[in-house]
Amino acid sequence: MSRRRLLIISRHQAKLLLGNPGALVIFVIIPLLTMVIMKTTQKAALLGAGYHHVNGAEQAVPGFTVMFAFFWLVFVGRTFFAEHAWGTWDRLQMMASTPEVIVGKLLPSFIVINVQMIMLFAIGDLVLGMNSKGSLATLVILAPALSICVLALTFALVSFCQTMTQLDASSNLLMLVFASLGGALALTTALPGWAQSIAPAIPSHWAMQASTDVILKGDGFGSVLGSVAVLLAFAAGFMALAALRFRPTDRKLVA
Amino acid sequence: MSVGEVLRVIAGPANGTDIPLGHSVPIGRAVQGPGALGGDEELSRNHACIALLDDGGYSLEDLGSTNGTYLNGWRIPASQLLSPGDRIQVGQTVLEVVLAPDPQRTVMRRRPVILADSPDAEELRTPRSKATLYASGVRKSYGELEVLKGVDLEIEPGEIAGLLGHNGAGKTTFVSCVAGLRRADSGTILVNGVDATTDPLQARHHLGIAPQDLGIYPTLSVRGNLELFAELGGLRGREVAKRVEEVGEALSLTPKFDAHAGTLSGGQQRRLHTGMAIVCKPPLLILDEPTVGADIRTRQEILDLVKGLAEEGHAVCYSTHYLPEIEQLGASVALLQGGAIIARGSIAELVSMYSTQVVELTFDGPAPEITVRGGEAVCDGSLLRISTDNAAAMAAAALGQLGGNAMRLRNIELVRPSLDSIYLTLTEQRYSSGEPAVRGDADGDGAPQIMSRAALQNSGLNFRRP
Repeated sequence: MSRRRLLIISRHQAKLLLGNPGALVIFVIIPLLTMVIMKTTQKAALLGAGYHHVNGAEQAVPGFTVMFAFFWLVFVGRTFFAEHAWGTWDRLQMMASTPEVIVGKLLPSFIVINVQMIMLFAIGDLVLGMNSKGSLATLVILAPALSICVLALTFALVSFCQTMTQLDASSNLLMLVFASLGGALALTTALPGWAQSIAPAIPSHWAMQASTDVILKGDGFGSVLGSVAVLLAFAAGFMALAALRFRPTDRKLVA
Repeated sequence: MSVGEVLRVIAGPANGTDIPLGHSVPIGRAVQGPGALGGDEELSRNHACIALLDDGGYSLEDLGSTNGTYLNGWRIPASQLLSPGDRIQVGQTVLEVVLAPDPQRTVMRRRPVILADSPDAEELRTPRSKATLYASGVRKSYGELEVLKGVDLEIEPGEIAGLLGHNGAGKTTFVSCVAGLRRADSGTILVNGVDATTDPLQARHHLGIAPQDLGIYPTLSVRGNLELFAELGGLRGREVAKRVEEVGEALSLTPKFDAHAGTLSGGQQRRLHTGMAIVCKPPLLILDEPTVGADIRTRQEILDLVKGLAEEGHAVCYSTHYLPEIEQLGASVALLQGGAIIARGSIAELVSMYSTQVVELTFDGPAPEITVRGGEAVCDGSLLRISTDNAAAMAAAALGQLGGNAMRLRNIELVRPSLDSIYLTLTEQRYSSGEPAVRGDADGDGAPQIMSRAALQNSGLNFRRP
């Protein structure tokens, strides 16, 4: 893999992303607004679950940060379909190897998702006054792990979906399932028993578990590392699935 | 060692430096010293080695590098003896071998030091062409459907080859195989000496392609589109800006440089699309129907640009349905039909081989049987076809022979040989056949060749209206 070509494609992809700044802004503003709206409801849920000295931000901030990280499934996935719609996919393949094209396209999104998560945690903490028992700095390693997991899942979806409609439908479905069963909308302990039993099979559960362990229980780095390892394992699984199905010559339809 | 024996870096990050010989020179990113070639990032850690031999000569050996080591355009499978003037390519770097002339050593050049039963031995025995594009026996199937049935095509530097064939003939599949987007099932494809079937990525660095369908980034500026492909093609720094300006000027895109490509007119977008293929000046340029939907001005600009590139020594594979463009470009013709090249040559050669003119008379009802001197008449339903050397004289003579049948004459047509008529005949669109396309191979050597009309008739083709 040529580092130079990789950087050229990444820079190019960043230009395309920045060509649509509205989406980037919305991906920060909307979750913040949602956090404010849901803070009170989350406070009641946390108090009911036995947590004291909370104002609801302790669940709302990580919950909506994790939830909105998965919103990138559609946004990033669509950039692959756009290449096909513009007729540029084959042209890129001509100029660089397939790994260079894929990694080059995903790299700027990796940075943007990390920035989004860190910004949401920081603004949520400062504006909403989150009462975290542990150090939020401990959660810094969660952002890249979750970003990798999101992008690996995106690539798997792109590999399996032939049309943009399929991509949109499957991404939206996964976002909702991950948010609801993964504990982003409500504490996992508040979910029905069957939902609690399948929650560990969902990546967002592990991101939420790490956040809850640090913010509500005051756990340290070791607790976060376990969740990070599981998220990376999920990412590896998604990449393996993608590798099984992905064909650079497959046609993608914007329909 | 003679004084002044060096490896001269003539392209790449270390361009302009000389690496002294007189000892073995390892090359690779892990190498300390000049063998790192200025940090060329496309080198493998231990890429290749230039070894000093007992007789004072030098050999070049690839050390299992990822991207391969090339000697005068050929990827070397094993140790090769070096001679003065040889050019070595490793990664992005090109080295010229500067040695004192040694007749004895020169005689031995290019003799491979490999085991006779190694897989590479057979490959090296195969005669190689100096053509920029060398395709031989290229086959490609999609499931049961065999799209390419052994395509042979060579395009020399400076040559424009018009690749003709109707929709579904296999043009796009062939172009995709050359470009490495699809892997040929069998056959050989060399692009500027690089094997596109085994090393497609390296081969792609030697070609530029403008696919049939428009491929531009509508949300980027014209300049942004051109710069991206210039940089991916290996140009750097000022070279990128210079080349982008040149292409923009040649295609009249300069006034639109900062406009989003999506806001351009159809013709401008088509010009940009072509410009992205040529911006890095590849040795082989493949243009797949570049003037589809283009206005007259755009078409002329593209044709002028293509001619200019050929004059500079670039080989051009120009796929089109507009036969006048082939004539305007002065291109040679490669006619692809049924997955094989059925005719190859200059327009003059093709016309001379199809010099027979034809008079066609169409009647209401069955065509009458007449006898004419100096021609061969064939009736086919309501059509009377007369092959001759002089269509106009034959038409006059035939009309005189018709007698009362002249009242039933509906149409008369003089068919003189042109690229159009040759194309239609060979692709069986003017006169259909129940048989699949014929590939000429009269001497049985397996090589495709132009077939004469007589040969086509003898092959069992029936001359009928489609």
